[in-house]
Amino acid sequence: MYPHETRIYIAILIGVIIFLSLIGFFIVTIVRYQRKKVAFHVEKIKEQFYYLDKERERISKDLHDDLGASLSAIKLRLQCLKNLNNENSSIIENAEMQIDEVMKKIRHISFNMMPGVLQRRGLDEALKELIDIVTDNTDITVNYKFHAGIFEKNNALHIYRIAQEILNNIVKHSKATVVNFTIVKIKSAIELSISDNGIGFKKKEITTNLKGAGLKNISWRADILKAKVYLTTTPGNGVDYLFKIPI
Amino acid sequence: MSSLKIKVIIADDHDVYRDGLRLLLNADEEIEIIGEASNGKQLIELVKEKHPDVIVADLIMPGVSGVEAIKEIYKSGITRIIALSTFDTEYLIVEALEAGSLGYILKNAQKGEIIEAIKTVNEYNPYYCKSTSSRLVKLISKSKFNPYTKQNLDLFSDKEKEIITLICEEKSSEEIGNILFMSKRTVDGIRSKILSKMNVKTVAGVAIYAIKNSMYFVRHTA
Repeated sequence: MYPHETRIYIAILIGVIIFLSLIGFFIVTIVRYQRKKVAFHVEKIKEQFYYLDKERERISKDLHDDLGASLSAIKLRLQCLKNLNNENSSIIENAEMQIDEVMKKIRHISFNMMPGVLQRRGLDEALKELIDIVTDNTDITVNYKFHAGIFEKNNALHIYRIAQEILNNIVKHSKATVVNFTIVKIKSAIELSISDNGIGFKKKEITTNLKGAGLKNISWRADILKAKVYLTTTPGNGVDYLFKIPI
Repeated sequence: MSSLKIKVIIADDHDVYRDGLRLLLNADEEIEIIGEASNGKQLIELVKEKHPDVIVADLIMPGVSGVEAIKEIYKSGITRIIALSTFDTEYLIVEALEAGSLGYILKNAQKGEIIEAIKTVNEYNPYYCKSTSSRLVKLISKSKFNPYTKQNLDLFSDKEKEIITLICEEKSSEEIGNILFMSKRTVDGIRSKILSKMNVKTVAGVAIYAIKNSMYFVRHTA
């Protein structure tokens, strides 16, 4: 080989190495950028949910404590009325019944916004209450088994919200009669599984564009928990959710 | 004659509710309000100072909560305590009963119930609010709260025991009549006998008495 040929080959080799290094650098930068972008996105959602939940907690408390107390006080004052004739006493009775109705609505709104039981008694108790509400108000049988243990407050809230959203969907859309609900600890993860025997749905249609705020919320909260989500469903065959949440 | 009145202390952080409660209780000749507190700490101090017969304490109060205050007051030997609760804090009611209160009443209770509760608890008998949900009965039955010392089960006839079981299953007098081939009036008669033997005023009271005395067993779904 002539010396100038060797020089050409070396130059080509150097050129190729530089080119490959540039491409490598480029790819690494893109991957890093993407990862940062995802992390940033999750952080942003996390922050948004934090403030959203905080605000919900405040409104829920105001509704429950202040409005609830004021309405009870009005009812007490009505009960103080004496010597009423039949007509007036039936008016008062009606007014009391209306107060009870308003209180029930407040309870419902306040509980949906932030269940006090979650903050005081933890995830297990809150989920039990959520399931009781479903079984008390519908014909759905819920078989449940869970021992979630103690979670960091915000994570417990995310898991609770995911369960609440899924149960809401089951009640509203699934026509299911049986729901199986379990939370178990397997190795270094918590597995949350909720399945029903309802009408199911076309997974692609619903998940591709994340139709509905409910599913979006589930997906975002799962991202915050760094959970892996497995959704199995076809029309006519119920819905099966499995979340693997690292601990 | 004021010394014969039931001396009551009320505690609630909402002035507007306390005002209403005062108005209602003052109208009763047998009740005298001897003090009012707006938080748990104040309540504990007031009880030490005034020695009431009955305490009516809201469970959600700033600082020292109602449940904590009840625990503290119970330790000092005072047992005639009624927990006052909002309509959806059933877990708090259970905590209050475990902490030492002898009865509870929901803030949206029906006419006359608060006064009935005060008079019942004043006699050292437990009081369960009329609007108690079956869920709360279950929670109380599973809790550590048990105001009953061992009862003599021969107190009740077989027919009464049968009716107690049906009451626990949330059957109305009419339904019980249909099942046992009795008239509604007969069932009502036996029902009121059961209530008086148990010393309770409400259906929830019958259920809790029956469960706590192993006369009825709740089926838990999980």
